[in-house]
Amino acid sequence: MTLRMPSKEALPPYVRGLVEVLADPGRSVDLDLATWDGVVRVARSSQLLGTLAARMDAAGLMARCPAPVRNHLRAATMEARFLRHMALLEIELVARALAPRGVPFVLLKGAGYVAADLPMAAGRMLRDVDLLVPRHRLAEVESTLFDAGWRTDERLDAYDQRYYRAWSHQLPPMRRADAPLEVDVHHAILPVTGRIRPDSEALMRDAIPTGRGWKVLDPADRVVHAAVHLFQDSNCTDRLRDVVDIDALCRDLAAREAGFWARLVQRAELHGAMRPVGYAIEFARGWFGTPVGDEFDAAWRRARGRWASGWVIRRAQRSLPPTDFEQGRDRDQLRAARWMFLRSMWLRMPPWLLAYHAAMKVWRGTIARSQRPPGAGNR
Amino acid sequence: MTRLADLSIDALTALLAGRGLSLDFGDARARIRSEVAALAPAIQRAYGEFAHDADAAFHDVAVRLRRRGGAERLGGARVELESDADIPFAPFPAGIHLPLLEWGLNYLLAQRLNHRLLVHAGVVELDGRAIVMPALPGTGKSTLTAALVTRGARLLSDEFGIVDLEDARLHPLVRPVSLKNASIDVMSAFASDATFVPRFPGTRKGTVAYLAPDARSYRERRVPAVPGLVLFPRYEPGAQIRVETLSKARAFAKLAVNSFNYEILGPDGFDAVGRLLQASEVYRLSYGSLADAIDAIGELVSRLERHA
Repeated sequence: MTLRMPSKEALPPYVRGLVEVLADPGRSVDLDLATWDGVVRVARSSQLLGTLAARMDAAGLMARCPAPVRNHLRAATMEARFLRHMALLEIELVARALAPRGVPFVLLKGAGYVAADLPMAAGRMLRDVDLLVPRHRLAEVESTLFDAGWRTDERLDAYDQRYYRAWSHQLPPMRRADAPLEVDVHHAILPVTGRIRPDSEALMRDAIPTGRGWKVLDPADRVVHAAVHLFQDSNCTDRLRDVVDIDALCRDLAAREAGFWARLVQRAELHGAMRPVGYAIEFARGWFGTPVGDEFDAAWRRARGRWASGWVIRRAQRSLPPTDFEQGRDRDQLRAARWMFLRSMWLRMPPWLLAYHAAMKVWRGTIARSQRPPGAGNR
Repeated sequence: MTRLADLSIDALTALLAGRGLSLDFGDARARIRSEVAALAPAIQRAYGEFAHDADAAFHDVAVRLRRRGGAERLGGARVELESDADIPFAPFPAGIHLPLLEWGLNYLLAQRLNHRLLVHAGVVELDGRAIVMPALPGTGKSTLTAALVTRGARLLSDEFGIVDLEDARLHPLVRPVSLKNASIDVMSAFASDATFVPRFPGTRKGTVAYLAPDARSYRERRVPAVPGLVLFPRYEPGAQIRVETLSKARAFAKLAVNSFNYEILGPDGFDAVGRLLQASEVYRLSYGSLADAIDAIGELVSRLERHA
């Protein structure tokens, strides 16, 4: 059985330049200014400019960049450094608020990478702090954070609030006054209505402490989380950064832990997420050349579907890259993005619930239009 | 290269509709595209001394003005600014095209120049020294910036004090000076021979007009200015001119608060504000007449030179 796997060669040229320089910063010395223009724009819109800067810097290549490019890379480095400080502050304040109650929490995604001082956290543009807490303590966490000054966006109406609480896997995002980062409190890593339900108790139980005293996911669970976030909980459109993360996580962990790939298989199977993890690894390998262990490949070959996996991979190859700012999406990309959107809805909730939310969306849109005063909305 | 002022409107319209107009502001370059035909004559006046650079390969910001059809029933045709698939503002009425472009560029540039300290300030150069006028409410920094420029100072920017993190020199970002409401009449009376772009009434900031940068300011767009004065002007109708010294500690706090990215830069921002103030004299200037203010500023700058 052969599948057509993701490939870097099939990426549109404006994305390929960025992917190649991220994978091998040494290639940047061959880029002309016009190519750099596209690389910087795509990197910025994909939240990867700081990562690009960190990799160029680590390779000692900043000085060889053309001056205007170097300026943007240095600017992104400054912003990422600031966001890192702000994230660490936010985590510290959350930890202090929750400590008297003894509520355990685990840092997810970017906040976890920063807390664990992973190399891939360098240059990361953090926009929020994601936490995982036990579901039965969710209300307690919310009221504790409220008392400590966090608030949800007051523009959320009763339907939005209910949406988060009844059908999603997190509380509505919370923010302290003027804090640049939001705090997202999760009780699961996928919506509770979805087709795959990762084992939240195992995620909490097997979390590991960092040098800073906070807990982060088990390394293999980090890959599972990044993968299910991408292939179960998103519409797989314009998600280059997630693929970059999965590549970086796997490279870093495989280099540090001998049994990493076997452990990844074990955790992916425990969470019932072998397929999304397989897709994620295939994209990391196809676009960034991630070295993958044989143990994983064997398990993935058994788990993947003959027809379904090919369908997903072919479409995601077109929908995952960012849009070309000059041309927009071509017909193939648009069609792929539409299919991946429908797939994400299908995975996220059963059809009756989907029909309900779709109806609500249309209805609320009608109300919003009828209530909008002329000329409203100028910032 | 041909000045935009000497280009035909058709040629300019074609550029805007095609690959884009490439403008060099000094510390940043923009590529501008537009489906809104009325933008071409407005740009021609506001950027008359600028030249289109057909060979520029790299732009710090790329924007496009798009029509949002009359199908948006209420309020008629609208115009929208897009940059790399990001649409920072809700659409404007179609006639407010140049202000949308200018505000869009301000918004985008303020986020992208974090390799410098960005102070919200008007900056001109007089006799080789930079005069930084932070934008506190009631200062009339744009009016004073415009007045200084029409009397021979070199325009660096009426919006961004761009401070080099290494040596605290001020980098130019030469663009039209935006004048609002009452200051439009004040300036038209003060400098009747300068080029103004006609008024745009009904913007979110009231009526707006623009003073076009002069040829010298454009020509020297890549020449940074050595710090000279940090000036906190205050316009008081009918007041006599008054110059007071201000402690650098007070000035530090005011500059930091008036910066777009002081927090983001952290220790580098702290150092940059410190270096700028070390290299500058700091004054508070209260004025009731633009002519008096300009004389007083000239006097302060000439004293600087004797010390230097």
